[in-house]
Amino acid sequence: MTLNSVTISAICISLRLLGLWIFPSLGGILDKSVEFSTPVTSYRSMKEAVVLGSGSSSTITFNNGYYDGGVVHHPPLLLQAMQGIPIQYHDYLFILFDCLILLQFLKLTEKVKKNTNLLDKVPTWLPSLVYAINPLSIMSCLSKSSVIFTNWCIINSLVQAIDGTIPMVSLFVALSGYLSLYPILLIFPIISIVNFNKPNAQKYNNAIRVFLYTIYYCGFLLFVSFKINGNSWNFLQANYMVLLNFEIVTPNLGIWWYFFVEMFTEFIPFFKGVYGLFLFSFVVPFTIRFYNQPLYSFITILGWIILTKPYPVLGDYGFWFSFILYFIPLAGYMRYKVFAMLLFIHGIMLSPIFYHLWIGSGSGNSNFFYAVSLVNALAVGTILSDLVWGMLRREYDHDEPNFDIKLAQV
Amino acid sequence: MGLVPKFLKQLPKVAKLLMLIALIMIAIIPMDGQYRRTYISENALMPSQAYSYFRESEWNIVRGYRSQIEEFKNNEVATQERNTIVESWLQDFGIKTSVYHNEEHGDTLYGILHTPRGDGTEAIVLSIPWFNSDDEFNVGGAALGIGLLRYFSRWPIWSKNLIIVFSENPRDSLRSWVEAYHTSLDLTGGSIEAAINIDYASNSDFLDYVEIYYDGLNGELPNLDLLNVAVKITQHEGMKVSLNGQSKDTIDDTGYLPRLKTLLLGIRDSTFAGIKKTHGNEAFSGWRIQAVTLKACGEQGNIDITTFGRVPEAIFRSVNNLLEKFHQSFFFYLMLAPRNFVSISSYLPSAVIISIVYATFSLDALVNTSIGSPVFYNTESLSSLVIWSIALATSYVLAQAFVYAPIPELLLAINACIVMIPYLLRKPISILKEPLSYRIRVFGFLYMSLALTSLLVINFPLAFVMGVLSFPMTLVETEKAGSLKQKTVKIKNMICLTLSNPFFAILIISNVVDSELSSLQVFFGLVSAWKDLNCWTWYVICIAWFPAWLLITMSAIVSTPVDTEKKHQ
Repeated sequence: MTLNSVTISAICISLRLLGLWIFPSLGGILDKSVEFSTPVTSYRSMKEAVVLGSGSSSTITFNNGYYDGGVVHHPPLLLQAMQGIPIQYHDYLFILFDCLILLQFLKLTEKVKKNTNLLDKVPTWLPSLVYAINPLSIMSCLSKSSVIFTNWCIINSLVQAIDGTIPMVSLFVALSGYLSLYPILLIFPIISIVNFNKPNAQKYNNAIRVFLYTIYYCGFLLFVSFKINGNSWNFLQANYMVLLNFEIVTPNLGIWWYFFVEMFTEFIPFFKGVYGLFLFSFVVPFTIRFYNQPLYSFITILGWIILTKPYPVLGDYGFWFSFILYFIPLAGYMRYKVFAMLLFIHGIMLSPIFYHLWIGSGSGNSNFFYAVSLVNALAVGTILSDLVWGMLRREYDHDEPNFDIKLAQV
Repeated sequence: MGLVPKFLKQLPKVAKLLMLIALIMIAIIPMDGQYRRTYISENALMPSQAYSYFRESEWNIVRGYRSQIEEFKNNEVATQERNTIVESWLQDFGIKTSVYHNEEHGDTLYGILHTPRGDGTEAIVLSIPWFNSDDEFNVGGAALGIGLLRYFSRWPIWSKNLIIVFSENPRDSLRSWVEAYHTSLDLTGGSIEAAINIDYASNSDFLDYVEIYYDGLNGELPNLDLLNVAVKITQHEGMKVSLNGQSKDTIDDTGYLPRLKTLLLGIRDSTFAGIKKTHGNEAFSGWRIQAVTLKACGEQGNIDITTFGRVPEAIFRSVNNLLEKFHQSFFFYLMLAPRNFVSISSYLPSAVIISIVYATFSLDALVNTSIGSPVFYNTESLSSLVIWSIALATSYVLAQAFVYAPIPELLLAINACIVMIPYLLRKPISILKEPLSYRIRVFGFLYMSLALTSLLVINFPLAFVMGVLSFPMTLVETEKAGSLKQKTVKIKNMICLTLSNPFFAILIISNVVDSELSSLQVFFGLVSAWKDLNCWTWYVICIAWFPAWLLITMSAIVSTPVDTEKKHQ
């Protein structure tokens, strides 16, 4: 059985259109659910900005006052772009971007297959098909979460990195960072991908070029945003400080919010720092340790960021799960596949139920929901540690899988 | 062979043992030392601490109202006229009234006593359905309710608004009012903290004992504090309390078996809440309202109507003391006697274990096959995923179709046919290979386990009953080296499939344990519970249980064996 890009795209589009047409209210419900929507990614706040912007008279200075109300946390360029598209077509725009993402998955698998013989046993179409039928990505698409644009930039930067086209790589890394800040950290594994199998002399050169290009694009994007935003820097506060400071304490699937609900005020800045550092501290060490397995280190770092970022959504996980399929050659090393999978499924099944018990029926409390967040985090943590174990074993066996040797994990 | 493979080989036995443990865990709850005595957790409630004044002086007033209300019944006065007259009585002592008109479920009269000391944001409801769950005219209840409110209106102590509701019945009519109160009504009195239903369907001055009903819809229960307050006050006034509709001669029994009986009756009542007769407290589910029903039983006892009236009075005074919503005590509990309970930590492990039983069977079907060790990804997984989605979609369509056209005979006939398929098919179907059969089995049990896990916190009784009733499903055998060729195995499979079929199982169990739900009544109850009360038991059965059963049935069909050598990672 082989599937080509057209078939998979057709599957992807038809599933999403079916969801859109059969359950017209589903998107709105998902957009209100904590699992698929957070203040920084929700479509509701984006729509708010779009409506605000279209009503404003000052089209020349672009001073739309997006961020005056304190509910909008999307970057100005994205809002400006969304404003250019009539609201009734937004649904289809998101479906289109989902389609683009899965085409990139297809391209990525092809390129990886061309460069190494690692994925010989994995069908080229598998990751993109999984992305197309994954209920998490379908629902994320229907909820019109802006995370889809970030994901598109991330996978584009990865595909470009394998090609080694540095300006494009940097552009997409900068864009993904511009859209939701944390993916900018992916620049480290991206550099190792760009440098993979390159002569030593070129490596430093490449790294510096990627850095400089990224800084240039970031600066450019920020400056254009500054201009678009009516010569005001307040979008920095609304987009990035919100994330860094975790300014909107609201329940989500992440591990941050619960701590800041009941903590003494004096300790809040310290622990925000700790959480921020926790997120960052693993990125560079991962890249260095697994410099010879750049794609895998990229995937684990992406998972790590999703696990530790302040406002994760299930759309992030739907995206990440297609990446996990690249680990199929190492699946024999992994020990907790079934356990982690069951844990994750239970986590996502129970989270709306416990949220309902807390917010809806009132017979539970916030501990219920946070417990589920922890189950989720544990599941993702288990998957991550399994992936890392697979990478370590691959290194130990010098790229030739030897599933018969059992090694202790201590 | 290492320890782990040995253990894996024994998985079915382990699972059966776990099931036994789960049942034992429920069975030991009523033993001494396993349960707890109830206590009032919220200090502000102080039940029966204030002296109750609803005594003989009010008796004549209640009698007067009662004789007038009896006239309604004797003269067969229409609802509208009845409501108009009662409305004028309520207005006499300063209550703002309004009638909620509903074409489908009947008109509901309600009145609000805006209390002087309150800020108007919270309310307590006294609800009196004109006809009770047995369709008897609620003479005493209506008279008592009006008398109580007249009496309350002369007091300055209330800090929460008092609402009195006269709905046509305690089921859809009251439910539609509650929904309207939270969505569309103009005259409202703030968020309802607690609701007391009064059911006194006799014109006698005396009663014998009191039944208290507390089960909400969809597994919701009122906060244990409210139930404790109601029980404590009733007993304080010298009346005996019966829970879960136990008859009078068993009220005083103590010991292991009576406690077990109350426990099991509680599980039954909660499972079938909304499906069987509703008493009125169910109507308040889902809006964060703690509600109980007080039902006066018997006409001959030595308790008079004002004593019964002092119960709502004292409950109102207790709730009136609250500064916060009910939150202190348990929301998840099982009652063993009016003064004994167990909290969620005692019974939840049992339901968790039942869910693990199905997960274990799923693991068994994954590991113990003739196809070798399980693989991370293969086409069978993908196709069983597709089959599972189809089963789910089919179940959903079936559930919807049955709601629109409730014909239980047809439903049962269809299921009987499905049960017969594995028995009748002798030759293997070409698409169904042995590994696929096993993968389908894996998904069936996994889905069942997931469904039970999701359900067990939200509606423990239903999860428990489902888990126990569908256990025969695990005894269904899947093809193993031509084992399905034997007739005995096929017959055993058929019996197990019949017993674990959701519709047959529900039909059998409802007829065995509940006299209210005889013959096919349970199916009509399920549909009407969804339509009238928004009780989703029907959908839970159809969407959680039925797809799993379909998958297991499919796995019991004779399948083609596959050369074992080929299948390796």
